[in-house]
Amino acid sequence: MSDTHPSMELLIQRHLADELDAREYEIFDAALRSDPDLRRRLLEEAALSMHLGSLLAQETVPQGARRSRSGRSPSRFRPSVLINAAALAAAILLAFLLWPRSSATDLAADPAADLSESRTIIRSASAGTQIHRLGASLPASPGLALEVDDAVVAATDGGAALEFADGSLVRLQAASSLAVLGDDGGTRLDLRLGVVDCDIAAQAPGTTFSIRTRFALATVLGTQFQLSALDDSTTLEVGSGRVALSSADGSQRLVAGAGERLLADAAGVHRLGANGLAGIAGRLPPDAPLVAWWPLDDRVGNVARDLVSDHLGRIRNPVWDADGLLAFDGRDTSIVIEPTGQLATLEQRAYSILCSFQAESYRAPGLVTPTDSLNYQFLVGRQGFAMGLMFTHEGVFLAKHFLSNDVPITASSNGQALLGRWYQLAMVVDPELRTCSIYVDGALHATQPWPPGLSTRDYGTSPWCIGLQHAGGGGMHWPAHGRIRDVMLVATALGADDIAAVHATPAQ
Amino acid sequence: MAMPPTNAEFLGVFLPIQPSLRAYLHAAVGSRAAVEELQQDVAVALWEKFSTYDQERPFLPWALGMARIQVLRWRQTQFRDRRLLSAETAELLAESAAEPANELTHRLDFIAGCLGQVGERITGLLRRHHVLGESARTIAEADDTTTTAVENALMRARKALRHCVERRSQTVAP
Repeated sequence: MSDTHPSMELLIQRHLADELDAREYEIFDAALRSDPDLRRRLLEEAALSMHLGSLLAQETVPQGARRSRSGRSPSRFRPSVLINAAALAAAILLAFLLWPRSSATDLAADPAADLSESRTIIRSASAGTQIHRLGASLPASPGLALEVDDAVVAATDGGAALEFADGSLVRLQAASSLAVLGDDGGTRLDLRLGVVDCDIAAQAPGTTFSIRTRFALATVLGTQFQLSALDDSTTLEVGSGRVALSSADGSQRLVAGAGERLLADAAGVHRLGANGLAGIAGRLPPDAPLVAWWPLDDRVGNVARDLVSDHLGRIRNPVWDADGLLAFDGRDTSIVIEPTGQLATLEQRAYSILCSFQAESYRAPGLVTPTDSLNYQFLVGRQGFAMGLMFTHEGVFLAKHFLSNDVPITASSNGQALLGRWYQLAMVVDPELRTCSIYVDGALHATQPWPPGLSTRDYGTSPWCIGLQHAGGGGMHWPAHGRIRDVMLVATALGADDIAAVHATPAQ
Repeated sequence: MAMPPTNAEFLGVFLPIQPSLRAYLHAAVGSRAAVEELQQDVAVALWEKFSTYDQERPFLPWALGMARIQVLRWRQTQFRDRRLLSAETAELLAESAAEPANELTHRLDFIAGCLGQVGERITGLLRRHHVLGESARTIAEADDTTTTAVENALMRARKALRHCVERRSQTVAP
């Protein structure tokens, strides 16, 4: 039985107590998917938790025990009675006899019952589409009126269309699930899962047409739009008019116009770029071949998520600051990414490396030979080869690319960078033009050419690293001291306009 | 003609794997209240389908397959704002739970002895959390301390129990 990282231990504990918040669920879920050892640890802890509950419940329960935070009776948490064999058989038999089976057909027998007040009807529905009403199911059929709290579940190979009293139309795509929350003061729907295409009539003053999902509330301002609710996010695409999208807790709100897309997830509401990505990566040209993007805002854990292609980074000695960013301690905090897929040979063709960096010192405390002027802080590149983006003790950023004869081509930034200030950096290598360039905050600082006839050095299977040149590399240790975020690798030489667009807004 | 399975046959294979099933359900759904609901559904489903179980094969993976289906059905019944692990993770957890060596599950018998060593205060804390379902925040508010302090105390207590179980199991190992 090995111990897991303390932050993951805490997430395990909170999960088993049903106390994770939305963001923690996202992180924990991603970590569980990628880490078999963490899954085993969770199962061990779950077994321990259940067994502890059984053992401790056999002792005297204190008088006046408080109710749980959910208001449920404490007895709900007592261990199962199914341990006893006879009780098990009886319980199985009882549960079998009481199993609810027929209520759906009871309702279906009179689909028009009590529908005179309803304002919403099924306009069309493919075979297999169901209405869930009061815990039962009945087939959806054209003309059937919906009641408050009804949920329409479209067939997996079809769809359904709902028509509202004001003429608005909502079409459910296959396997989508939509519930009617209420029709007082407007229309309120709950898209539980799937995709709906909406053609909403202009709303009368004082009324709204809104659709909520797990992560967002879309309030319609008279428009055509599509709303997609997935397990981990909600996407809004506006065809015409405008739609306001609010986060589930109401703390954030963005309005999208025609042709715009918004995304809501556990972290809030974001405007999507033409490439379908949120945040800084969404500012890249839609055809830019983004290979990987590690935001490094994971908040907890020892895995850096790649939001583009699943190149997970293993973080060594992670320290997450109050803003949820990874703080590189200037000693040995680092991220190692295996060079699989396009990462294996990215630098053999045109490529760009982008990141944001906030330095805490010019000389990291973990430098092996602190007086050596060749001791840099390594930001992003291939392990052990001193290629990529670096920061010198003089406060200069370097973009370094090696040629096949081991000759480095280095482009340097102008002036001294300030400590504590965020800088947005881009390194662009263009083999066709035979140039290596460095950009700072969207502006070109230097371009270094190289002579014809030389190819790029082969870095073999050396991994990609962030924040450390080479763990245990002696004088080549080069730990970064500060914060690095939004590391992006792009399989093309981005142009000056592209870089300016991506880094148009100062890093926060 | 094959005879229908008897209760004894069913219980003979079901009871030994019940701790693993409960651990999986707890890991997959988090909430202990949900585990209480689900484990009966799983037991019924296993009993209903028991005649289709190939007794030449291990029972646990088959039972976990049924449990996984129940978890997926349960997910569909939850309110939209209920936070859940993804369906993919629930499936991966079922695979992990089917692995032969789940060390702690096999060593649970040592916990009772270890509980006697952690002291009344810690036992009381564990009881409030694991039996009464009090959250760390609730305990912290009642005891005039911080949630972090309670969470850390719970983590330390369980870590101590794990290590105690490990020591004891090594002592009695053949």
